[in-house]
Amino acid sequence: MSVFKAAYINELYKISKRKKIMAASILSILAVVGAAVIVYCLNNMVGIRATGSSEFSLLVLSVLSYTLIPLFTAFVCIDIFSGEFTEQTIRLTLTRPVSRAKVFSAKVLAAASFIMANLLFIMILSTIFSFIINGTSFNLFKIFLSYILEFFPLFVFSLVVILICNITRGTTSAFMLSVLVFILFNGLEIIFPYYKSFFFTSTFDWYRLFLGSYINYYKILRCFLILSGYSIMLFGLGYYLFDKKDM
Amino acid sequence: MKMTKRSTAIGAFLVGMMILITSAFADVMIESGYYSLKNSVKATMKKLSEEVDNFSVNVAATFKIDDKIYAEAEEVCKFDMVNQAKETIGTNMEKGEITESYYYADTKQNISKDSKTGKYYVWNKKKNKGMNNEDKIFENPFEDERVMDAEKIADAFVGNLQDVIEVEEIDNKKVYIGNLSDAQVPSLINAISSFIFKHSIFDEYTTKRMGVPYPKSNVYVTSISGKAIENSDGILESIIGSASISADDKNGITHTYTVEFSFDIKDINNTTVTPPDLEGQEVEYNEDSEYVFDEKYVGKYKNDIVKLEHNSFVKVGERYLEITSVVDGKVYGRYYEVYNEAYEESPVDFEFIAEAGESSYYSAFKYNDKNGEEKTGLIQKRQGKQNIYLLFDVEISEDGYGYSYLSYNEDFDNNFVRIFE
Repeated sequence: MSVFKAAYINELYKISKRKKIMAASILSILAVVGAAVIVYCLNNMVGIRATGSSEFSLLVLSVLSYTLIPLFTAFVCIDIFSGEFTEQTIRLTLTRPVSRAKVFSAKVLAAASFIMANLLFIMILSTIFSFIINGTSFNLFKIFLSYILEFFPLFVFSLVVILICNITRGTTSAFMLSVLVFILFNGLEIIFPYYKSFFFTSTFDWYRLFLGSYINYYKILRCFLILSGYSIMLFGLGYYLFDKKDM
Repeated sequence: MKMTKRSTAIGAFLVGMMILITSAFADVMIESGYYSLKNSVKATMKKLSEEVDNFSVNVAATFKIDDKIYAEAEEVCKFDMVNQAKETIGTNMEKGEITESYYYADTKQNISKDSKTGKYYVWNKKKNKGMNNEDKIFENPFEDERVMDAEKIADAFVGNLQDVIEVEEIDNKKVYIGNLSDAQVPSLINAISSFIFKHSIFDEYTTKRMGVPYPKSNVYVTSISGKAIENSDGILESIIGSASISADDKNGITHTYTVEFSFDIKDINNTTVTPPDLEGQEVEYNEDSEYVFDEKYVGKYKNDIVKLEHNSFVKVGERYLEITSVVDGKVYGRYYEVYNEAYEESPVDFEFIAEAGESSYYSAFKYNDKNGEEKTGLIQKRQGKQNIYLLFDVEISEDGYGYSYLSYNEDFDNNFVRIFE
């Protein structure tokens, strides 16, 4: 366990040294400020409140969960996997007394930690701005729950990117393919709405199932199983390819 | 050891795939409330338009501000699909004042009643063109291409909201219940609905007329809820719904504007639609409620040819339209232009025979333009107006109901005024 912990901390340290983390933070701040300005202008100039008290954070989540967060998730996952293979720094990681399974798990956990940290950062930021714009009481539990739930589909996306990283050789091709898969899944979801349950992107707004007065527990369970199925499948396949990959 | 880890990975992949496929299939097979309700609406429309002989629809709507009723409307519509007859009795209440409306239509006549004077107006239909879509009293809206496209767009964008519709089975009936809280209403839908509410439905003029506070700022949708009941025959017999919007007035006071509506389909195959008894009533008879020309349009019509010169309007001539005769809806006439001597324009002059096609809203004719090219023109009349609308260079749509301009001359005045001598 201590070996795994060390590998995980090592991965986290490597992520923290990347400039992309700073870029993600700055862009997240800009996106939240931009959304706040639009909402504020809409209310003060047109008289329409685009978002209610707690809905500003949810509006930010609904926009960023399809744009900035998956984008930086892809960047970070590509850095962790393809980047290390391209720069050959993976040799240093694998020469340590730690198995490939633990290295893979530590990397996946580090990517998951980044997603969660990114979500929490945006949540705190948007809640502060929500307070500035609306100045009313808001349902913090709803906001917290929504952001936590959004982690699961984003984690599945990160596993998709990791899988792509283990199939492709370069970072550019991995990035392009990841973006393509994301757009393709969203497109297929629109073209075949009846079969959207098969596409993980259809669960990107599943947190809305928890927000109403009627909670469809069976649907939530099915969504959870779909996400779990995706996670187990992609983790297994991702590890298999990672294990087979030559230096 | 290495083999074991790889086998575990493959095992995990297979297990994951199995969970994914079974759950996703289950999700597809267990129809969401949204799809179930949508199919029910489609089945109801199909049955009403194709299978049942007659039925009644009761529609009621109430508008409230802070739970106080400001306006109410109720309409009872009876449909006889066999005889293609329809009767509508409406009641409106606004600011405590009640107004009633009555309308009857069948293949031979349209009848309306002035609620203030009690006088009936009857329009006898001149010709029975047979059953085309324009004449049908009730059509399945889901056969319209635009509705089909809108349905696809709605399916794509409804997202996980489709699962907020709860389905229950009570006494052999399916009950659909849906409630959207303010947190669930997507921001874009909220912004668009609030904008439409503020600027189109409940604008400053309407609020002034109704004597209610104008929603000036902080407009947003607070809740949307609905309930629908499907009977054992698969027909939605009742739909009730409400939508609330919160807004601040000019004094900063927050109000909740609520619209409640109900929609009941009843007396299926047990509804009789009969024309009103006009015996002893004050009745005004009119011939044909449509737009086909008749003899009263024989005459001369004109407008001025005006040009803009040195920032002033200068009359340079006159356009004339002469209707010489109207026989069985065919309009015989002449169009010509007369220019002032100072202007050396070659005037247009031709005779035409205009005939109403599939659509009775206009009569089309062929003419040769200044270059000798054959073009299509239209003449139209407006209900109760003595003037004629003339259009040049148009293209009639394939179905014969619509038209579009092929070229548009902005100097040409389409409205021709009747000359009474």
